[in-house]
Amino acid sequence: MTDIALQLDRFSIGVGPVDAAHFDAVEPPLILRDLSLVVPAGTRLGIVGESGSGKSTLLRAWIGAVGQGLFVTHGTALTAGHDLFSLADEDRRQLLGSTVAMVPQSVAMSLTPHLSVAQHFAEVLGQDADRTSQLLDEVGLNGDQLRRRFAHELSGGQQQRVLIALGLARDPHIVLLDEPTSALDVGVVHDILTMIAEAQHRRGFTLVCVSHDLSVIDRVADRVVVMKRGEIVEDASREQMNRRPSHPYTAELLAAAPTLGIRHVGAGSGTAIDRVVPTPIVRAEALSVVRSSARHRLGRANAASATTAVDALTLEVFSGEILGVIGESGSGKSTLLKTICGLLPPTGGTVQWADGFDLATPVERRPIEMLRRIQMVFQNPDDSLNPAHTVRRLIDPSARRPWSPFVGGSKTAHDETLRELLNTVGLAPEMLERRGAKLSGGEKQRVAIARALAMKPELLLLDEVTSALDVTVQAGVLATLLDIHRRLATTMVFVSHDIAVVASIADRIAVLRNGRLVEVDVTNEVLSRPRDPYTARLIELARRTSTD
Amino acid sequence: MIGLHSTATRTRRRITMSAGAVIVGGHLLLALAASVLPLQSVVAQDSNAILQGASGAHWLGTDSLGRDVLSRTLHGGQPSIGVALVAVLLAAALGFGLGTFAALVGGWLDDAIMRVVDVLLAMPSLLVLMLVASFIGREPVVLVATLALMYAPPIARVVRGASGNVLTRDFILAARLRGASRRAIVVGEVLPNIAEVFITEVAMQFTWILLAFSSLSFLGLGTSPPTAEWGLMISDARGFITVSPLPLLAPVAMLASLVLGVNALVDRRAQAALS
Repeated sequence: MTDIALQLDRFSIGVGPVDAAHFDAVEPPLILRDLSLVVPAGTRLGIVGESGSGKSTLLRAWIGAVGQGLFVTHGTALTAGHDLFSLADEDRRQLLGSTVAMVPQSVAMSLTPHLSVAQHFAEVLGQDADRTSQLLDEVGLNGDQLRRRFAHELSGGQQQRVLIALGLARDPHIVLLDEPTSALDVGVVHDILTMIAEAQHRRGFTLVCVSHDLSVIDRVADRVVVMKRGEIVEDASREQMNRRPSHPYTAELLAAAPTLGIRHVGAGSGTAIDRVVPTPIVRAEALSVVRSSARHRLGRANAASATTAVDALTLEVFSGEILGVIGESGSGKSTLLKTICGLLPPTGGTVQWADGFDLATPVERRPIEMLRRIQMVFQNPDDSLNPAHTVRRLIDPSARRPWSPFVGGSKTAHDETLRELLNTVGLAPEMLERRGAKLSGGEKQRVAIARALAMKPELLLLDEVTSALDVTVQAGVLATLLDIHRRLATTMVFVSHDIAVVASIADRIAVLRNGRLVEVDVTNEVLSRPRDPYTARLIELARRTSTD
Repeated sequence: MIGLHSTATRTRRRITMSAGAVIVGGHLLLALAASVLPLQSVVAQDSNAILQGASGAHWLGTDSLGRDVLSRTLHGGQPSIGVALVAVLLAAALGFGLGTFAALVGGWLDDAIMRVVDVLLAMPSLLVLMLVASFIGREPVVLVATLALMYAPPIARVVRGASGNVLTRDFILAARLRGASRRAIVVGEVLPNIAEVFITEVAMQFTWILLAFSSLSFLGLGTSPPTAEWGLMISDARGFITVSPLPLLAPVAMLASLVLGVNALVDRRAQAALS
């Protein structure tokens, strides 16, 4: 075995060649540009970058794979001393099987749902129950119990662990991890990263971990490479990087990552709570929502198997505040928002607007004035913006919508309003005629916020609005939300799984777990003196990932 | 993915679509113009000129009763295209309404509607058409209604599937929060997203209806003689193919080119490559 595990020498990957004529005419756009890198055996390397930076493409190059439509333009990538792109298929398989393990990003798609865990291992090891149990134990699962379970019965965290165990099955010298924690809850993320670090320490393999999240890299790597648009902009030890990043982009990344205790400029600092006697705008009392897992569209549900998503919840949203709601997936936070805006029917308790209006009324039966008051922004703008419409059509409440009750005013005055609206959410007025599908992720989410604001709502419900965005984009959107809050005094309920993000924007924080309210208090109070052990653990985990 | 289509492929598909448009446009124009062009009579028989080849007097020759093939071929599109167009528009309206309604309501009603659609899909449409034509009548109204009913189910099926996907998306929730009615959601939010699939499916069904109606005429159950209609002309001419092929080939060519033209025009891959 060589001392250098992985190496890149002026390695570039480009798009194309689509067809010969096209290829000759234009320089192909490069996904990876002149990368040079040496990874000594037994070290731990982290690669961080935002989406589109080429980090996953780089990782795949080390197992000799380029995506469809891509090709190596020049340079070499060596894996354990071999250039995989020049090896015959059979030789490459031999080498990869015995030395390299790659754990792919989309956990759910990487396991076959109808095969048992044991069957997955049998493909790699042959029938070897002892070894299978041993490997599962090593990744922190109960091997004997879990072996017989089917892949679809496992939780996200368990699936991730099984995938890692599969990767370790043939004692690889090199382990490549692609976003090992991207779809998991914070508690699970912490445990899995610890497990990975321990396995690496015990086995001494070379570890390369790719993530968009600096805090993840921080936990498993000694050396950090920052990528931006296919180039390496920074290559430093972990300590060096946290203390004094040399490239401005890295500094930007570090600054944009929300850390506990640091509040955004202009964050509410408890305006509504401290100075004014709080008046509730929404009051939920012993609210319960039972959701059926069966399909339900436009309010019609057929109860097949039901789960209590929100359980006897009593909570008030005060006028003018930003209420942060945190909880892991399945804690009922999205259900709570959808119930308030009438998309889901409550099954018990009461939920009321300030004037006594019963918010149990489904959205179709609410009066127009009530509809206007409560608007919601959804997690994934790709899903919440109709791709067939232009930005104008999306945000304009009166644009060729035969149902719209909000028509009126002259055309130019109206246009001015729309431009003003785009300005409020930090978008250029020229965007008005663009098609939603052609915008970037951050721009799309801003359009979604503008759409909600167009109704001049008194209460804005924000459901994980930044979790689909890169950190720098997230920071921008959060700043915009705070700006809107300052200027329009809109009450907001900001739901997120990330306590650091919530703490950076919210006046008060409510912690949900399994549909129940764990605690609710002013942000600083929750952070400094959490009353519930669950909250304390969330804060502890967030602290550890951000300051380790 | 669309960006990966090469320029050569795009050009090729653009040509396919343009060719389709020209063929379909030409057909519609000819069918409309047949009534005003200085053509010979469709029904006038000339017992002295039976099964003649192409000549100055009869550009495409004459059929077994001495009627002018050119005139009959051009006029022959009118009943076929007319019936197929009206029937497909009805089928499209019915299919779209049924499909989106089923997707909207969901639950048992959705299941019930789609099972009825399944049953209709399982019936051989030509057989049903023959039964209807034999026992109920051969009036255009009856045939158009039957055709619409028999060819709406596949459209309903496609619309149901496509709109079901669209309805689960968050922009539907956003529209509801803005006070959109069900009709507004279907027209304003769902339709733009399924238009391409819908139009393609409707065009495909148009060609099937065209062929079904011609088949019916061929079997003697659609239009009655002496009307000029392609299926009927093929039926009349098939016995004399060795004597004079033109009376057979002319309507066959028209029918085939129209079906091919529609297919080329709405080729889904071509649409995707160009959008």
